[in-house]
Amino acid sequence: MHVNLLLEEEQRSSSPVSLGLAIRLAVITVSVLLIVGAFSFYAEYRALQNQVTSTTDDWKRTEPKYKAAVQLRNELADRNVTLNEITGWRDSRIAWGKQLETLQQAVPAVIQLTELRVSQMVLSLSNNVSARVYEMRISGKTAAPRSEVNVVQFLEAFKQPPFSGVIESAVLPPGAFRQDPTAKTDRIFEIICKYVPRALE
Amino acid sequence: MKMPATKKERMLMFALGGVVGVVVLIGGVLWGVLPLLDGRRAMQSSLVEIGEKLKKAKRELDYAPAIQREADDAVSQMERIRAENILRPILGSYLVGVSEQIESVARSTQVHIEEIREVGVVNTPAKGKNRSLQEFKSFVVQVNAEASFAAIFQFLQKMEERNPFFCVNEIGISSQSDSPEKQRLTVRMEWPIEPKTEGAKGGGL
Repeated sequence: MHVNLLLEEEQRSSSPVSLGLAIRLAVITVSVLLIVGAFSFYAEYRALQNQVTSTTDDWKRTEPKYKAAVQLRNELADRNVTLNEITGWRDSRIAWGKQLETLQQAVPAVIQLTELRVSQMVLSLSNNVSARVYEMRISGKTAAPRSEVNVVQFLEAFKQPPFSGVIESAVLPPGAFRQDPTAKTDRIFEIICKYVPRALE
Repeated sequence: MKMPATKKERMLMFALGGVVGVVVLIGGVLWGVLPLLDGRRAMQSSLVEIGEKLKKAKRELDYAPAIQREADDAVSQMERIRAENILRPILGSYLVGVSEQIESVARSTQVHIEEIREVGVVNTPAKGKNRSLQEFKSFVVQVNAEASFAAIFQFLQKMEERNPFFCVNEIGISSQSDSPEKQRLTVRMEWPIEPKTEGAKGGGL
């Protein structure tokens, strides 16, 4: 027979690890982990703060140079706009001295020019860029025999180099080839040459 | 500290401790950890932002020497054009300088000048519809002359050689029945000028 004379409050666990010890250990472990975590977080936080300070200082040193570089780039853009404008002017024109000399060489001996008119217009191209467009109207006469051949031969000259690079079209408008009212043995004609648009940039 | 004697009291004490612990934990997280995490996040994003700005600045600064060279080159080109090709007024008149040029070239190419008429200062052809400021304008004259066809093209060639910015935008050449060797020439010429001198229009001293 086994008689238990211990009160309930006096009863102790037979386990070598008591509940109190387990709780103490858990509290200590959690506290240590929290302290280590907090310290590592703090260290990381401080490092980050230092990094931000150092980067900000770096930016403060770099910013004036950067702003100067950006200003320089903007100034260059402005200068290039001006330069493009004036070089566009130069490049869009036609050297008419050379053009007329070439024309003289291209006129067949049997054709006599009576009038030449050149006019310039400024058009806006599809890309919103303006362009000079020249038109040349040439009037002339030629002797009636083979007059048609002579004029067609002259017209063809505008479709060959050196004109083909600058002239877009050369046409004899309807009714422009006819009998000369002042000399019945001659034929008069008019040729209209439209030049390739020359962009102003 | 002495532990409570009864199991019930001990349980109550643990529960109370737990509640206090949870409250302290929540308070710590709300007022301690979260603000710190927010601060860290803000610092990280600021670091990224400044880093990007620095990278962009570094790229820009790497290009700066080349841009400086290009800008210097553009300035010297523009100065050369201004000095050599842009028409400048003589005592407030563009026509004086232009007439001198035209007459000098005409003499050397056997072109007989009859009249040099000032058309005036006109806007240069607009480059783009959005351009509000035109850096340049043009000074236009009309010249009436008489010469052979060969003399006419030599005259124009010489004018163009003198100044590659000289521009002919209208030509009229017509033969004369009484003098087949000579042609009547009407030519409209223009030179670029700078707008800051726009007020000083040609037309005499």
